[in-house]
Amino acid sequence: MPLTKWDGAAVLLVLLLSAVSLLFPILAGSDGGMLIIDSETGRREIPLSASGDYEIHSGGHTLTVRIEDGGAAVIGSDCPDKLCMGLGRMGLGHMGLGRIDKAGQSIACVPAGVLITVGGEGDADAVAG
Amino acid sequence: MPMPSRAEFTPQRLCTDALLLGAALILSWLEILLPMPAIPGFKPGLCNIAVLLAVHRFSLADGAIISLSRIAVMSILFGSVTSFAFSLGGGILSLAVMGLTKPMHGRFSLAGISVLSAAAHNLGQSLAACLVFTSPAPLGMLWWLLLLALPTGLLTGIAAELTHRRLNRGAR
Repeated sequence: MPLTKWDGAAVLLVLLLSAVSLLFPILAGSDGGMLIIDSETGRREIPLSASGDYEIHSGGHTLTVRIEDGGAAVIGSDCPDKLCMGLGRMGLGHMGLGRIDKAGQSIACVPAGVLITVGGEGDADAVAG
Repeated sequence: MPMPSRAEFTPQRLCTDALLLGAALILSWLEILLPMPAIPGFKPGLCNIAVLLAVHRFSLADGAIISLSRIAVMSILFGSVTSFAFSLGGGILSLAVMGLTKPMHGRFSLAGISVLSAAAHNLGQSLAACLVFTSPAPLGMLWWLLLLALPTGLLTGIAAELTHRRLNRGAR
């Protein structure tokens, strides 16, 4: 193995940065009120209290978003990546991946050009920033 | 092997850059053909082997030409405007880190340099996503993307380091 001590330091630095950036989802804050869906067809806002399945058509793809118990997750997608669903399937939903319920949390689908964000009572950007 | 200076555009350097761009495109295409079953959407960034080699055998400019051409070609063939913006953000930040760490090659092996540039790539992608969506929300995934940069950066970096050494041996 061609590794050096400095390589070890590089790995530790990235681990440290990762730990620091864990603050973003943790500080994301209060329970959200609205689900904001930005897609190529425009913006759609759905209250998180309105449980049910919603379809989003964007970028030639169809995503199914389920709202349940004040949170939201992408439960179906016809895009090949399925990244938006995948991280949630790995049981990481509570870390702001997969299922989202706190203001400022989001799910991004790159192939379809969709961003699903939880908006709070006030300004979501200020809470997550 | 005498390294050509920045100003010297030899046929050998042009051919090597062209070969490395070809390799980068094929590696990117392979990643599309072989999706990782365990973690959907996760890509090891094998094409960075070619970019690292170009930066360290020639100059940062050679690496930049290969990386930016690869992003342009892959986005035209397989991507969208959004994925182009994400790749560009990641590519530029990762090139910046490769440029900064190049003088420290020797202390760092290419594996360490690759880990740092992979982390920079994922940070650049998150920042580009923030710009595209005009929202800080994509930073919520950053911790996870940075963790993923460790195995992927080490894998591509070790491959690049071993190739770099073998090419040096072959040139003598």
